[in-house]
Amino acid sequence: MARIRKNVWKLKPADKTMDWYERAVTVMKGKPIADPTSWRYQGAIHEYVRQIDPFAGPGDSMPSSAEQKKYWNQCQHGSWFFLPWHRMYLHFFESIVSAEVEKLGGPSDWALPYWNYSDANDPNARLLPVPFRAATKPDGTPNGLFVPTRTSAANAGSQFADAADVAIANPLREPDYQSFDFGTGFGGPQTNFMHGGGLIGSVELGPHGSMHMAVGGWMQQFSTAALDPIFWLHHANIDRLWQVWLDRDASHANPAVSRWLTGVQFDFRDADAKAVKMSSKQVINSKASPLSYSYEDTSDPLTPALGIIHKPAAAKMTKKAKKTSTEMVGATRASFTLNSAVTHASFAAKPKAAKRGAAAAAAGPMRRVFLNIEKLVSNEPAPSYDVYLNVPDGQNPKDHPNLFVGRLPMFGLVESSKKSAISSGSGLHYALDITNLYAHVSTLPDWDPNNLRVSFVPARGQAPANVTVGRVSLYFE
Amino acid sequence: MSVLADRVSAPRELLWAHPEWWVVGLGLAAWLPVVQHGMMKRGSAHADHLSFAAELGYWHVMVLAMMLPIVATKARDVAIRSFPERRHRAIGLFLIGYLVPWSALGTLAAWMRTFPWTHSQALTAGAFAAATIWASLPLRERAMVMSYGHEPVIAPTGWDADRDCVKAGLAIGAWCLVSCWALMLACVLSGHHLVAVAIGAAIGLVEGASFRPPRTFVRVASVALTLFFSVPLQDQLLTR
Repeated sequence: MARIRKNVWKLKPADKTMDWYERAVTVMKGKPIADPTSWRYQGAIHEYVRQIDPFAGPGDSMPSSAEQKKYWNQCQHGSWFFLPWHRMYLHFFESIVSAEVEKLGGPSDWALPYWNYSDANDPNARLLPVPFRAATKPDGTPNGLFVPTRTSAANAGSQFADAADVAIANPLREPDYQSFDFGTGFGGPQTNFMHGGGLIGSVELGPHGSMHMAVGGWMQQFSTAALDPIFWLHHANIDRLWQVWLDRDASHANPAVSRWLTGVQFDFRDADAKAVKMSSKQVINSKASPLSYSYEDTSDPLTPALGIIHKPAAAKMTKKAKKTSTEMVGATRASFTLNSAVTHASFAAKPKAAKRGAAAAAAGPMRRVFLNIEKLVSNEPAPSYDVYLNVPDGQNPKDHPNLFVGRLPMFGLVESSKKSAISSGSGLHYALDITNLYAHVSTLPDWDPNNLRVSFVPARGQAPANVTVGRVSLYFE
Repeated sequence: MSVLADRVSAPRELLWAHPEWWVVGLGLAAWLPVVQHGMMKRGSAHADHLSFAAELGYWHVMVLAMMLPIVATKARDVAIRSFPERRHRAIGLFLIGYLVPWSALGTLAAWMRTFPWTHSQALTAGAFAAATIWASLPLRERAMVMSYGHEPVIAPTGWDADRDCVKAGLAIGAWCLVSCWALMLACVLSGHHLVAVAIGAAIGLVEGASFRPPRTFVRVASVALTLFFSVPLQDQLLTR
């Protein structure tokens, strides 16, 4: 049966999709954690940490350790499996919710809606959808979609996400799915099992990571994120953006290597709690079996009217003829901590290479320029940070939006910093495409390749945290 | 006009993109003495009595042959974190650091082999059995995660850069050693038997290339080695 995933902000008043979702979620929340179709089990597939499980109670009967090892803590981040794994995760979740909806007397074709917060034509797009905001329903019973720990502005129906959180221009313009050697890619780098950490792909960085952090509360950590019902609509949108990226340019393509297509069989339990395995190849066409769903809208949103991070980045990105390697052009000498209201780091770019790169970037066909923020580590949650390039000394970076590089969401920071049976604790690594910005700053009067300055400011005026940055580096493709 | 094309001609681009090429080459070259040693007629390989220096030498070629193809991607990690002109220096320093823990264990192993009681078929079989058990322990899985997941931070220039490359090699070498010490010692006790070294290398390659450690393969291969060295069969194989 074909399902159509609809835009939650465009559901007609008579549409009952969200009502059924709320009722099914409430039923799932009532099931024990050992039941694979329960709300808590579904959340634990992403990650489970009992110490911060908001539903933990003395009467919990946990699944066996073998069950937990095989099916829990499986989410893929910092990996080219980020998109296919989450597509599988959504598919089985949608099947489970749909089965509950049917048992409750609802339609048999219930489909998960998506939250298109980047819709420039809808002034409400960035607001938390209405069904998630109130603690109780009109009849006074608890609203299964409400989570009290979200940022208060979100639950109040106020603006809580800004343009940087919902920016989609950079990921959608990525020419490649795969990230290579300190460069950016739409879907992430080739990895083995990667629960979290390492080089983050463009769409995983934002809007994925930035919206996780903007919503706040449970959404900010791996182990609680999927317990917030908005998680699933958020990820449906990320899944939709995968199709948007593929459709908007004939040269955009998924990896065609067996290592990505069939090299990995991921373990899940279906709506009947039966064990199933699935590989990337089975989910690259969402309209085909076993997925059988499509999105209401996968049109290209990159029009001139779309608000994006910085104007120079709206320039046309020239296609490169073939994939090439990157080379390091400069890097900071020592690690530093982002525990100030503004943290600056500076380094020298090799003058000859810097001049050549700037000229090439300005003249085009461009060679891409990447700013890498390597090995971000912290044992405490941190806010998102905004990064700026070459802000004049003594000035507030926020006063220079034209020097804005991008937002570092920090989603998964603590999880990827922790040494465990599935993580080396190497932290997060962000690569940001600064091709246009680099070309711009290299024409400014104070341009000095021996003194490139990178500034970090906590987003939304939040307090800084003890986040260690291993290195900031500059790479040319 | 490409920035890269300014400096690197097209035929050399593959080597440029893979500066670790010579690490793989060195590892493959090390198989020559390993195979040569394995094919020599000596009766039971585990009973070979070599000098301390020869044992130490064979230990190192065995480590190079078995480990370098696996660790080449980690050598690449330090290279791409370095300026282009420092890439091969970075790899060389990484390898020095990487080999330090292995050389320490190799010295111990070569010294052990000077004692006659270490030249025993039963001890060899027991060592492979111990390696099989070690391969299934959580600490070993943790060591693999730590070695494959290590993300080095390398200073751009000077002494700091050299130190960071050596440190990265030391860290990964130490975790590799925790992961593989039992199997490597068993290979030594087998007299660097070619079957043991080849299957041991295959285990490492398969594990390194796999999404998740293929437990079944590792267990079957380890148990097969244990059984192989529990019977006199290995005395006939690979001897002329």
